[in-house]
Amino acid sequence: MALRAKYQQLIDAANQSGVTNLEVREQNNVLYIDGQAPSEEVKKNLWDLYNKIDPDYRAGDLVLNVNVFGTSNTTAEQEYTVVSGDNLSKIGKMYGVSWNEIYEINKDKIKDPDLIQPGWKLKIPTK
Amino acid sequence: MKQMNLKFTWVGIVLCLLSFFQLQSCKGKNKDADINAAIQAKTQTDATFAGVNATVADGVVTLTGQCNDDNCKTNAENTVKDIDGVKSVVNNITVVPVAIAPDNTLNSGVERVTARYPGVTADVNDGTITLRGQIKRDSLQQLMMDLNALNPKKVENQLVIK
Repeated sequence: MALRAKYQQLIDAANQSGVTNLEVREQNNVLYIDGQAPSEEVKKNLWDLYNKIDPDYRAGDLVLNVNVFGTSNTTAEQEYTVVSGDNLSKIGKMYGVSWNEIYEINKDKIKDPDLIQPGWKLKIPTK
Repeated sequence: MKQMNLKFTWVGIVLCLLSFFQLQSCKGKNKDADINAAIQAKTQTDATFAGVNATVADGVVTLTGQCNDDNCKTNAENTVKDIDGVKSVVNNITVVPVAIAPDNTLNSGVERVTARYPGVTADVNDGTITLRGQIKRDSLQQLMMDLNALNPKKVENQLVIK
């Protein structure tokens, strides 16, 4: 019960900023806040508040899983920004997927799988 | 004539006794019904108690059903305890556990995330992610966002922040 009080400001902010499917649950001394944020900005604000209440996220008593509606969390695809020196197999290794899978879902951008440009935002498929 | 009188008396006594017992039991039932009504009134306004059911027998309230967290369970018990006439509360509410990702799923997720943060290492044990190593303060928030989205039980941050 103490955790709810500790993070009340965050819970209120989530409520007021239009987070949908908001669920606040306290179990085994960890507070779980889940929901969908209407924008990246709202999500960022909530995380800034979290950091204000628990500087540098040291306490380990909150799992804040608020994702922006429509975009992925980890179960869906992620995005990776290409930096110089990257190639598809290297990126694939980072995420544990094959270069071919990345190529397949980024065909709109990648014409030649041997040629990718720094700054490109590539979708990374889930395993 | 005398015998008749005696018979009537007996019938009278039996009737009296019967009505007495009936009144008594009626009184008990009324009390339970009152308690039940009070519980309904108190819990119906609160959505957190939607999955909770209560039965009353002789002033003993038994709570069953499901709650989403520990607070809801204790709140339900405290709410009911305060009602007039309640002798005791049996709290059989089960708390629906938060879905925690299994360790192997967490592990692959954590590997994917930490690959993007050189200098950060992470262990997964029974749903808990423990972070070690070092990180720039600028990157910490994004790292925590990524890890919190993996459905861990909790994240222990032991990183040295530069």
